[in-house]
Amino acid sequence: MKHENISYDELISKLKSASPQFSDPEALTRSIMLSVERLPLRQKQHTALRITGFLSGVAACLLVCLLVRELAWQPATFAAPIPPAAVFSEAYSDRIAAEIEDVSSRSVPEKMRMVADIMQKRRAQSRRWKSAHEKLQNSPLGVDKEQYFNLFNISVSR
Amino acid sequence: MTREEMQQLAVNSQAGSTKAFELLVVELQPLIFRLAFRLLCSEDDAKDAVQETFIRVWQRLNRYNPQYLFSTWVYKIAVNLCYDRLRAAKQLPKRENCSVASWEENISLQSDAEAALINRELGEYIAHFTAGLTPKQKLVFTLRDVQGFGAEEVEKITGLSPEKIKSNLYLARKYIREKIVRI
Repeated sequence: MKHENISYDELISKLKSASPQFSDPEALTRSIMLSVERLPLRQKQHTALRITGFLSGVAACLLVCLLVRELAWQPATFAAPIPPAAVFSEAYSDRIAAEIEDVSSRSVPEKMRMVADIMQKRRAQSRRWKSAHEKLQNSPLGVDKEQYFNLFNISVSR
Repeated sequence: MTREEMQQLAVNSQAGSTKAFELLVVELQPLIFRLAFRLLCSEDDAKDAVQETFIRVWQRLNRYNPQYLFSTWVYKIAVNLCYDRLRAAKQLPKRENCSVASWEENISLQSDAEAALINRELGEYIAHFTAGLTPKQKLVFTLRDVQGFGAEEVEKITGLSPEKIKSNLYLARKYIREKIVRI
């Protein structure tokens, strides 16, 4: 084809009319069909199935995120203050221990009496504890802690 | 083949019928070849593009919506494929596919030497006028002016907005007119 002087419209009509020669289309069809027969046809998936799959994926992601969060960050409640053991006087626990040790050198009736005494004391102490606790609960904020511990003969270490 | 027959064959192909698909290939492959040739300017490249297009069509049949024209959908796949090839060709250094040596090799391999000669000349002729166009401009120009598709159809096939089609077509026409004047 010569590139002679032509107008735009002439060029277009020339390009339109000059179709390329399609040699041996049967061979190309055979080749296409051979390739196609080797490939599996992807069947249309049900929309509901796809939505379920998507939602399951989202749920799985959320669970993984929650798990990571649990492992990475400790909740604030874990850091709640625990009263130190030193708050309670050692003298109190020593006295109890001495009383228990003393029991071994006494006779059985005496021991029984002692145990009864201790139980009575504990009951009385428990009652005092309960009433003091209720008092403290009902009292306004900022109540003196020393006053609270004095009820039980407990010294407060500062 | 009527539009309804083609749509029916497409539905049968979706169900897995290779026979129906073969009929569609026979019907559409000359049209796809013509378009691919006009875009790629080479018989071999056009044939490769045709083969790849129909393989893609088969693989993506589950995505085809029978409400739309099957041929338009096939054109869309073919155009995307050719566009990718044009872009790749632009990035690579110019191939000497039209050199005398490669041409002589082609003649010795092809049974229909006359058809090959005609195709080679036509390819060179198209390439001469469209070589300086961008892939997008070439695509729009070929579809609109050479293939004769309507604006709406070009929009559907290329996925470009009407404004982009207009601007690309304007630039392509301008370039080709300048090229004609320069001869």
